[in-house]
Amino acid sequence: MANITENTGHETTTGLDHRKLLIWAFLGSECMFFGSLIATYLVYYGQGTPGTPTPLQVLDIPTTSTSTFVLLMSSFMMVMSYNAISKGNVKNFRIWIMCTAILGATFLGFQFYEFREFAVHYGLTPRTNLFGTTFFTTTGFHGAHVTVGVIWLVSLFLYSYRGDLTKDHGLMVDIAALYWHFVDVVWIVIFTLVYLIPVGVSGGT
Amino acid sequence: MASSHEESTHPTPAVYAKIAVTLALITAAEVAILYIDSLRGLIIPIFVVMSTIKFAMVAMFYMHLKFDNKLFTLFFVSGLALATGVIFALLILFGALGEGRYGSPEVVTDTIAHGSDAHSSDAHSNDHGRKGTSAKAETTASHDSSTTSDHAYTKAAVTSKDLSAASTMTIEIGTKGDQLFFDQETMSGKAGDHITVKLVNSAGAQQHNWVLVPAGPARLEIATAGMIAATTGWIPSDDRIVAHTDLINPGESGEVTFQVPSEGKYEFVCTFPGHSFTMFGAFEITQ
Repeated sequence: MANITENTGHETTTGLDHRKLLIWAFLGSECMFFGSLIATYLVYYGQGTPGTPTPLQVLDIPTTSTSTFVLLMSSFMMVMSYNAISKGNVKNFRIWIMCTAILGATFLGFQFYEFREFAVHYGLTPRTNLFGTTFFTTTGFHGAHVTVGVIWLVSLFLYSYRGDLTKDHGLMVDIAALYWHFVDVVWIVIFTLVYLIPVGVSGGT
Repeated sequence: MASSHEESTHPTPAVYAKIAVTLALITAAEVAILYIDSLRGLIIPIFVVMSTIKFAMVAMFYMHLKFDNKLFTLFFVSGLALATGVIFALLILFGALGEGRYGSPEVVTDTIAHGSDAHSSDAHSNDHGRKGTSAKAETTASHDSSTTSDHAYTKAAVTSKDLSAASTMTIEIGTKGDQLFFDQETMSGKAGDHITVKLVNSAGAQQHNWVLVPAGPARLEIATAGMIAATTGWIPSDDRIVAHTDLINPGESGEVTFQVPSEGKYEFVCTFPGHSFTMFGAFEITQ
């Protein structure tokens, strides 16, 4: 019965590695987590206190599009690093995973700039109005996930220097990659629902 | 389960690169569409379709769901379906899918007084003694204490426009700064009196209102119904509402004049979504 689809050290009743099942169950639950945050943002959209910054005034589509592009490309780097390690090419794995981490950090830099711009230039903080509260909560939790991802990727990069990361340990990279891609797809949804649609419908830009 | 090893079926780097280019192109197209005025009306379906394509490409190819065991897909799609359900349920529940919802960021705020009221709470206690007899007469007039007759009675009192502002007293109620609490847990009014309740919103960012409703389950029922009444300042259309102020912006005040019901138990509450859980109190009717 040893139909193991990944490089596991043991047999399971499903034939699947439970660590991989776990990450998928976790990502499923994360969908609901972000779904609730995005829904709250949408529900309170347009319910801002008069006289405080509105989404149309502060959202900067060109900048956010650039950071979206950066995050999408990091997903490509990630899949390339998984591709390298599954072929046993540790050298290329290191290059690709470091590129992924750097692009992730770049995305965080964009977000830091955006948050700072909102707070300093427009005076928009989580306390200002319902838009501020829901916007910073939603995008802030996503940023926190990216931060965890960057730390995870750098850890794998450093781990590879112990010489323990070989073709047989592809699952370790696979799980980190799934998390990273998930953070990317969540941003695809946030970029559309939090930025593009509200600005587009209101005739922004 | 057949052990079809997926490494052989996984896409090649060339396929990954093509997907990356497609993802970038779709994102560029999305931004471009924002600048095309003629597509304004179709923008929601266009963006939903485009981002769904991006989402699906990453999930199927980069996350290998297309090639992996279907159990993984089941786990993920279950969560995804629930999340989508939560988003739609909340949007419908809070009326956020309504017409023109995203086009009008301003909240309805009509007649709001800016705090130039001569009445004070001193007048309150004086009035109590003075109006004894008339209140007595009102009480005897309403002989049935069932809720239905109370509605009819109070509704009539509120709609009648002959309330002379000069003869009413004003009770002021405020908020505990930015906390979601009124600054009083109980208020009182003499049965049958015409009184004015002035809500002074001392919050820095929150909007509030003051709604007088029958005590008991009615408070939460009305507050829940109010969650979708965004266009009327979160005040639902409900016959049980005795009186209400408009939605008051932070730092401003507003008032409502009404006739105190002859009997029954009443409560006041703020029906701004979420506030009703802490912002309420008892309204006592003195005889």
